[in-house]
Order: sequence, then C-alpha cells, then structure tokens
Amino acid sequence: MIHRSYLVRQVCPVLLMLLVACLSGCASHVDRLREARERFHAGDLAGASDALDRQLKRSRTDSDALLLDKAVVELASGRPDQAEQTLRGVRDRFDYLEQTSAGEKALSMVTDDNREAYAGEDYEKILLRAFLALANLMDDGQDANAYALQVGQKQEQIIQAAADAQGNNPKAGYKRVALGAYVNGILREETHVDYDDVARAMVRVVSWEPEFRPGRVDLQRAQSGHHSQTGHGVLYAFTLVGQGPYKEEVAEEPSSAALLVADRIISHNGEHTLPPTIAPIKVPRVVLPYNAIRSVGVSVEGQPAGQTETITDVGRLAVQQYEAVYPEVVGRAVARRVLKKGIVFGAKEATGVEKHSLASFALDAAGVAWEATETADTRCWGLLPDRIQVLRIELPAGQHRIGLQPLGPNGPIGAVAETVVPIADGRNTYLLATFPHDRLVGQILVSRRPDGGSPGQMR
Amino acid sequence: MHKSTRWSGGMLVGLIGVGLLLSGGCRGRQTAQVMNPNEASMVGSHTAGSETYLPLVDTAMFNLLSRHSQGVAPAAFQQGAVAPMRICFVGVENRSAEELGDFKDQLYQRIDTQIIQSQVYEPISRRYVEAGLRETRLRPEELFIPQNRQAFIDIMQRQGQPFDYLLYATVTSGTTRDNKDYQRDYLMTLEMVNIRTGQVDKESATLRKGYNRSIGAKIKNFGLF
Repeated sequence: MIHRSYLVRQVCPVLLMLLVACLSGCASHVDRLREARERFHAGDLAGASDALDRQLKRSRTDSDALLLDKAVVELASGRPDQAEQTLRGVRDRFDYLEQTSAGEKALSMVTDDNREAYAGEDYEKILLRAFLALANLMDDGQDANAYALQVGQKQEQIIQAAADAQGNNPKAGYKRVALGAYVNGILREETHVDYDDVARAMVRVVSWEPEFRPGRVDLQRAQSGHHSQTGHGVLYAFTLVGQGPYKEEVAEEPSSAALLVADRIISHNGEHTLPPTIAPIKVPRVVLPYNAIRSVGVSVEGQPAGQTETITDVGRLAVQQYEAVYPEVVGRAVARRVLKKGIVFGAKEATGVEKHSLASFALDAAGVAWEATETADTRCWGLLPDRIQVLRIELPAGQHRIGLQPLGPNGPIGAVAETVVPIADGRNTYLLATFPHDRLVGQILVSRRPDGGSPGQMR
Repeated sequence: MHKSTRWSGGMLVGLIGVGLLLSGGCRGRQTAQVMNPNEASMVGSHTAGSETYLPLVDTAMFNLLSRHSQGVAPAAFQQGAVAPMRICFVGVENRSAEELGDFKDQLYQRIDTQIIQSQVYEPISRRYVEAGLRETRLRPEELFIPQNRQAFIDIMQRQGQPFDYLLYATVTSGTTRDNKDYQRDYLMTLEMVNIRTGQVDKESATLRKGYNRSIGAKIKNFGLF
C-alpha cells in the first residue's frame, strides 16, 4: 500500500504543474492586432476588417477592444452609422464592466490581468464618446450633442470616482478632452441663439487645450460675434492624424530584481524555499509610434485655406493618463507574484515536503513556470489616431471643391485628396478624413446636408 | 512535519482565497423604474437638476401668467382682449455657475408649452425664431437695439409670424460658502419686451439649495449617505 504522505508529496507537484499548464497565457492582444494595424495603415480597409473579424471569432476576452478598432475601420470606410452602433455597444459594455467581479479578480490574481473582462482605459472611455459624437456628426447629427456632453460627464465621473477618503486623487491632474466641449460649442453656435452656451464651451476648450490657437478666436466670436456673415456657412474639417498609442509588453525590471532579492532572503532563512523570480514581471506600457505627419493642409477650389490644428492630442492624453495608473498596474503585478509564491509556500507547508527535497524543487520549478506564463494585458484601442485635428472655414453658400493634403514638419508629404462639399447659408457642414501617415485612408466623409442629401464622395 | 504546521499552511492558502473573493464585489446590471408622477424627484448632490429647474420655471411662469390673465399687462398693450398676445420666446440664457447641459432645451420646451397652455399668450415656433435670427445674423441680445429689433420684426413678418412681445429667460445663481458647505440660490427671470414701446416687464422665481460636505451639515439635514 502506498503511504499517504508519499502520495501527497509526489502527486501534488505534478498536479500543480498541470494546473499551471491549464492556466498558461497565450499570445497577447498586441500580437493579434498587428495584422489589422498594418493593413489599416496601408489603406487596406477590407483586409483590416477581415483581420479583425477573424480575431473576433477567436477571442472573447479582447472582443470589445477589437470592436473599437472595427468601428474606426467602419468610420474610415464611409459607414458612420455602423461605426456609431458598434461604439455604442462597447460604451454600454464598458459601463457595465467598470464594476469589479470577485471571481474574475480572483482568477486574474492566479493567472494574469488578461483573465479579467476588459473595461477600457480611462482615455479610451472618454475618446469612445468623442468618436461617437464625430460618427454621429457625419450621419444625421441628431445625437451628436448628447455624445459631446457625455464626453465631459464621463471624464468628471472618472476623476471623481478616483478620490479616496483622505482626498487624494491620482486622476485629479488628468488632461481633459476638449473635443466634446468643442462639438457642443459648434452645434450650439449653429442655432444662432445659444451663444452663451457656445462661450461656456469655448472657455473650456481654451482652458483644456491651450495650444489649440483657433480656440481663442472661437471664444471671441462666441462672446461678441456671429456664426458667419450673411450668405455664408461654415465648414468644419476634422482629421484623424497619425498613428496613435497602443500597448506593448515590457519587463518591469526594478520590481523583478527587488522581488528576486526578497525571495532569495526568505528562501535562505525560511523553513521552505520560494520559487525564484526568474521570469520578469511583465506589464503593459503605452507606446507612441513616430509620426512624420503633423497636420493636414486644406484648400478650397485649389487655393490654400489653412491647416488643421490639434483639438485633442490622443497620444499625449493616453501616455499621461496611463502614467497616473501605472503604479497601480505594477502593484497588482507584484501582488500577483507574491500571492503565487505564497500559494507554493502554503502547498509545501500543507504537503509537508522537506526543504531542498526533490518535491520541493519540483514545486519551485512549477512555481517558476506558473510565473512565466503571465502575459501583460496589452488590450487597447489600437487604431486610434495620434491627434484629432480640426479647421474651421467660413465659405459662401454653395458647392465647394475641398482638397486635403498631409503636411510634415517641412511641408507637404503626400498627395491631395479632394471632395465636393455643400455649404448652406448660416449652417455647419462637417468633414472627416483619416491620415495615419502620408496619404488618406478610406473615404472623406461629409455630413448629410440639412435637406437630407447624401454625403459627398471623395474624388 | 507537525500537524499544526500543515494546518497553518492550509489555512494560509484558504485565507488567500477568501481574501481574494472579498477584495471585489459582483457586477450588477443597472436597473431603472418609471417614476410615479407624485414621487419626489431625485435631488442633485453636486449641481441643480429637475428638483431645482422645474419648480423655478413653473413658479416664474405662474407669476407671469397670473398677472397678465388678470389684465395687469403693460399699459402699452391693447390688443390682449381681442386675441392672445403673440410671444417670440428667444431662448434660455444660462448665467449661473453651473452647466445646464441637457436641461437647457427641456427648460425651453417647458416654458414654450406653458405659454401655449396659458391661452393668454400665443408663442411662435422656435424654428421660426431660429430661422429669423439666422437670416438677420443677429445675436439674441442685439434685439435690444431698436434698428436690429426692427430688422428682426420685418423678417418675422415676412415669414408670416408677427409678434407683440420678445421673451427672454435667464438662469442666474449666487453662492454662499460656509467652510466645506455651501448654499446656492438659483434665480429664473422671465423678461418680456414690448416691441412697440420697448417697455420691459419682469417676473422671477428663486430656489435655494444647500450642498453639504461636512459631517455636521449632513447630520443636520439627515443626509448621511
């Protein structure tokens, strides 16, 4: 008959190893997103959409992040209504997933953060609403003001929720997204009545995005000017410029080294050894690609009319907001390692394995393997632009040929893309184009005319 | 290995598990219910909401309507006995310390509806008002200048929408601080301008609201949580 303690000592490590194998991580989100990103930036929208669809069929844990990318592809493809529908679904799920789940939290502590449902980074939750406003502006515009107001409400909610009882708030210094206030302002200005609302909105734009120079002109006009002169309308040319932020896995070296020293001390002095921190602690980092494109030059009937300016610096926003929560991300990763080591230590205590025995070594090896299976949570909205820019042009009512040309630090870096835009007296018309680098990706979208006409098409 | 040591090891693993479960809650679906008309509105904890704005509109409109239905209309106005006075409601101007957000259009609609229901006045559709202002490129406050006002009246007449009065609604606020707590007084003012004489008639309603952050104030107002 096999002795019980022998059984426990020999079988437990094997079971633990099997458990580790079952809980092991897999390819990260950034790997899965690579093809879609490359195809989108190359202008292959159908290919990017197919790549995203394939990943959506395979993966459940990052489906919302993939849907955000899908919405960007739909928007660039000239389907703002579909993009809006997709974004709205993700917005509602993110709101639900903001609440914590004990089960997922527990599972993520013994595996990695990928096991928790993705509720989006703070900047993504805010930009999601900003994109909803833009998508709706390009469609019928009926809900654009509601979405624009939600941008402000969401950022206030995020900041207020982060305050603790002592009044400390790591998110208090968050950079605000001015795009929501801007869209609210321009929509109110079009009523020719609510100039007080316009002035309030533009005060926020100027204070949140002081480098947006046209904001001061807009504020002055809201305080004492008019929407446009008689017989004229206004074109707002929005552009999504550059390749935006995404997350990559990096080794958190200082924390890994500190934990290695700590576990060696405990292993030396304690009753049992701990699995050594051989596998580095992996955490996600927000990465900003280099962008040669700076803005987009806009011409009317072939004559230069100005260049778009940044109303929301997405890259800077993502980096700044992520830095505020980065200590928490590292803290959670370190806590997970400590917990895993604690479980191995507890298993040794419970099974009564001897220090430096073969079983102890096997448990340590299993612990190391368990730790090595961790994958950083790189789920993110990977097709965001680096900057959202806009140019306001007042034009006589009628049809106008509008040209868009990508500009680098020293001038034009790509070909001109053109479209025809209808301008109505005393009304706004909106245009949206995507320039990840030196050329237009997808279509130039033009908002529906007030008479319900169809959007203009790129030539 | 001692039995007690094994037991403590098992307990350690167990405690970690329990700790993990306690560290989070459960996700719950957001729910909603249709509120009974007699049910009290929610009270905005940080800013004014329907509990503030709706009574302000109702009171100010009631005051204005009661006065005019009793014939205490401005002296220059004579046609009231024959037909309802035609009102051009220009809009709600927010001069308070808070955002009106999505309330602004609701305030407009509420005032507009009460004007219609009063049978003392007859409003002009907002769409005509906006079209008139767009056509003339005038800001609402510029209608106080006689020649601007005349240009606007001409446009409205051309649209088949002549009117007797211009109506402006303004929301203002005043804040009094008491250390961590503060009181905010909200004032809704309705201003009617007789387009023939330029004479101004005014009615207003006020509502005071206390915002409590200190424990003492919360206890005093029975709003601990």
